[in-house]
Amino acid sequence: MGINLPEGISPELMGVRVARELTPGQTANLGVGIGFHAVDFVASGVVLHAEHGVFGYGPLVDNLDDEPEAEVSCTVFRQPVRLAPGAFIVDIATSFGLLRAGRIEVGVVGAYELDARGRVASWKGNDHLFGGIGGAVEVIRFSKRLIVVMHHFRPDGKSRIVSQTRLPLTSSRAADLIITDCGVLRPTMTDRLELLEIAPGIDPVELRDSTDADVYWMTEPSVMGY
Amino acid sequence: MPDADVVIQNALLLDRPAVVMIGGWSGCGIPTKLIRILAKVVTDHPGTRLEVVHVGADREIDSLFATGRVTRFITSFALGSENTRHFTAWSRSLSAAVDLVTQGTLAERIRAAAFGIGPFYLETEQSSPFDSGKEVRQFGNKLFVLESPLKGDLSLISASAADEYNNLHYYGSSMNFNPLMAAASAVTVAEVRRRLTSPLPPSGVHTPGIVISKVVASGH
Repeated sequence: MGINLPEGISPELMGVRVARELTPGQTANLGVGIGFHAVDFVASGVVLHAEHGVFGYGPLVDNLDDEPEAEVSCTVFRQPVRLAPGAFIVDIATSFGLLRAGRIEVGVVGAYELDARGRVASWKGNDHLFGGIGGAVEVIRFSKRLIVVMHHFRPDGKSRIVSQTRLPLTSSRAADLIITDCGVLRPTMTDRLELLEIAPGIDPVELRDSTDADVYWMTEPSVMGY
Repeated sequence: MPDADVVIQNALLLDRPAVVMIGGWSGCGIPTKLIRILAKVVTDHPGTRLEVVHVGADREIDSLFATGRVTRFITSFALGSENTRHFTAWSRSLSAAVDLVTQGTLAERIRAAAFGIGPFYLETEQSSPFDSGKEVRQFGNKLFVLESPLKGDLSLISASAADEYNNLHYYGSSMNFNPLMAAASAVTVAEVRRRLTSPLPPSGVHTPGIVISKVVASGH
């Protein structure tokens, strides 16, 4: 946790905050990391897209129905989920095709690092024993609106938000909103991030000073609400 | 029709590494019985070499990396975990080669091979690390990268139900890569949970039997 900073909010509460960004009628991809916690908190009418071809999943269930082939549930990232009325299944080419064609309104992705322009480094590159990229590039490039949800700091206390990432950038597309365990930020036209909200119990000045990229605010950040 | 192990073995009789596509996605719709059979066939035949195509280093395919026959892994997620000891060890060996492909591109390359499409363009961006070595071209005000179809010698897929015509149906999230890989290889073996005694309704056929070489029942 950032040097001298108290704990930020939990991944579950970050998921709650993500869910607040989604409105009924929108199709959204939550990804597999922290963003996936939003599954239990999204408003009814939000269509959740899982990259392997499921549209309309959620909420999580404890186990699959007795009839595992009943089309009321399936698994997403090895977790059983219920399918909402109106859900549909497509193959993986159609799934990414709909994404590529701009049909997914909101993409939520994680990041190892984020730079001052809101660009994401979400894979460790080919130096790290080949690496994993999954569908992140397509989600980042083609979602109409991009939300990054990430821890603000590494376990060793170093800032994950940096003026220049060490890891390779996944894409040059910048996030529209960044939700961390310490606050909510957005990129601006300059190489500075605007702090919009602050996690309870954290001093925005200390957060700004612990972040390795320029952070500022026009008005005092409000407390992250959920 | 020979048993599955013979069908698989014959599909691998090539003078080059065989491209083997394995359907499924993170525990959904993975042909675990066929993977076991494949592992045994290649273990028993020291001359075989495999280039494995699968979405990621899933635990269900980990055993393949212990056979000593995999020379290349074509995938979107080549990161091991505590559930993939063999893959992790394999990835550290000098002879291991990985083609890391973004998942949407992987899906579309397989689909192109399945349906007779040649090289094709996908939208990209300037200086993408995933485009190195490939032709990048501007059309209008957008940048595109030239991708090639990915064809297999053998596809091992999973489906929920097959009728006697080898027409297949997939329930739920088990569909994913299976219909695409089913049609993208010279030989396809399908592992199914249910063998139907009457035909699937025509509009309920997800994968036509004409691309399926053999069907086996799942389980032991």
